[in-house]
Amino acid sequence: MSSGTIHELTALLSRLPGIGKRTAARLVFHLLDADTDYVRHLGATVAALPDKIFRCAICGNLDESNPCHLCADPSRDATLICVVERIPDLWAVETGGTFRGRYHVLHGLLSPLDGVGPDDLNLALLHQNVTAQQVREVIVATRPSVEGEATALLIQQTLADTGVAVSRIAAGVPHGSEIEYTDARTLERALADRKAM
Amino acid sequence: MPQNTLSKVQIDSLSLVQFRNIARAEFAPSPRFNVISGRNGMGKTNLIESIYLLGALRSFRTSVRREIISQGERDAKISARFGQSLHGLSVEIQLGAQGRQISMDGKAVVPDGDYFRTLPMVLFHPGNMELVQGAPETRRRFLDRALFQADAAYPQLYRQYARALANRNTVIRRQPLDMRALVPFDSALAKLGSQIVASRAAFTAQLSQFFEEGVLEVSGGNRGAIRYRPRVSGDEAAFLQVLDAKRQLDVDRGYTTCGPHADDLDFEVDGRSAKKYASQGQQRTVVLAAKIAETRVLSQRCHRMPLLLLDDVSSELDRDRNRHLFLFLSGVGGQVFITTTHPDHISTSGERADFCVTNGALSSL
Repeated sequence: MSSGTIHELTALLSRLPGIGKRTAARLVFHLLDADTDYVRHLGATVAALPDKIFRCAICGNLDESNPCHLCADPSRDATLICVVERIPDLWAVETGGTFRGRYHVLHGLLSPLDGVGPDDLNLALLHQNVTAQQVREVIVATRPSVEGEATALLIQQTLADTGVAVSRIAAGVPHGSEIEYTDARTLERALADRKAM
Repeated sequence: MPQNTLSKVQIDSLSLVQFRNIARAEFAPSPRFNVISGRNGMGKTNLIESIYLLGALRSFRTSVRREIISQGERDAKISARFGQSLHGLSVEIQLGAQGRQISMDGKAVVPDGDYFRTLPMVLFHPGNMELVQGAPETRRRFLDRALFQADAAYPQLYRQYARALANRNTVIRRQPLDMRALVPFDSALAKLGSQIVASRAAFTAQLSQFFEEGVLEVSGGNRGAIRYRPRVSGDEAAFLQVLDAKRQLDVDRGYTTCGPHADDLDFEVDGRSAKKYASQGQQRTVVLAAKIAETRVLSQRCHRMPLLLLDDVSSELDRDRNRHLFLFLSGVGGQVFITTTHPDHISTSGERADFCVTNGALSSL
């Protein structure tokens, strides 16, 4: 192995988010010391990514099949759609196990300040699915930030002509946490959005 | 007011490293009056600035971090240990090229809205003389700075509003106007903006009561009031209507013309606008009474007496108003830092420590 390869891999790794040049170099030298089977397995898995993982043409999820296993699952309720910003958010909801509808991944939030406009989000497909699948409810599960709220309103607007019910996840005190340690702004919203018992 | 039983923000020790012209300084202030003297340009205000930075997490003199770090150095450090009523809390702020790091009791923290409430401070400096006649921004900053400390939910609300506003301004500057992108930020602005207006209105009402007391004390007979003049009413639906009505204007101008970012305050003396009618003397009374009111309202809202920072203000006030200022300072019982070129003119009652600053070096007198 020429040192050119080491430099090349270091440069490639340092393009990953959160990885600087030093960390990249450390990872390369770690790989050079590691079990060769592991290194080959890792390399082959990385190499196969573009051919094995597809963006689902229905919901925008990333999976080994297109449509993804969630959209293809006939036991899931196709009339209920949970909209999320990113795939890790989809996994988070899915880990809960109680949601049995389908998902829609936006791959971003409306943020003109960061150059993300309505057309940069996966919205046309959402509109199409809602119309085609006779969806009864769309739950918007974006984070409660300015951009997350704006995106929720954009979705409501986009789907207005379909007549589908659009709802927003609740924001407030996290389960199992202490009121005492909840920040003031969250508590303020939780009080404002209280529910009758 | 039972000031003596109230806890207070008190610095027991302060240490500065590479802060402006101060290479290194250790400082053990008195729990009451600290008079810092020295000729102009020696670094007196730097000391006030460093303490203010601990409470406000920003300077009142610059927004450029580079200026605060000593020339040729990589970072500046301010550390303070607070007194008994804050359980000996230690706070350290490190300012570097990369950003700032804050730690409390040795643990790195990301300050939340409660931070400002924990360490309330009131700054009184010559720039405050602009409060009556200056631009609306001067009065908004006065109000917001106090609210940041008085209301733990306000800092985040304020930042969210600023974010929504910046997004809306980006949308209206782009041709052709994309209504799909505009409508969500109109809603965000109306929702957050109406909350800001409500917080400001409630706070100003409270502030105004203390201001009235202050004006009466200082003037010996005048009636003062602070009126909040919101640009848009605190009603979310009405706010939306205004945004709708002003849309074309906003597009033409390239920014959002209406909202709490354009609010103003009106100081009144005997029912008349101080901006329009007050004499120079009355304006000084207004500024002094506003600072007295800020101190009293914060001690009530934060449940502790704010630390008081007075940067060369005696030179801005006449003899009679100086007397009232020190009468007030003697009564409140908080920790006070005063810079001056004439320490003998500062008439304090109670425990006092004198310090002298010469070319960035601090010595006890």
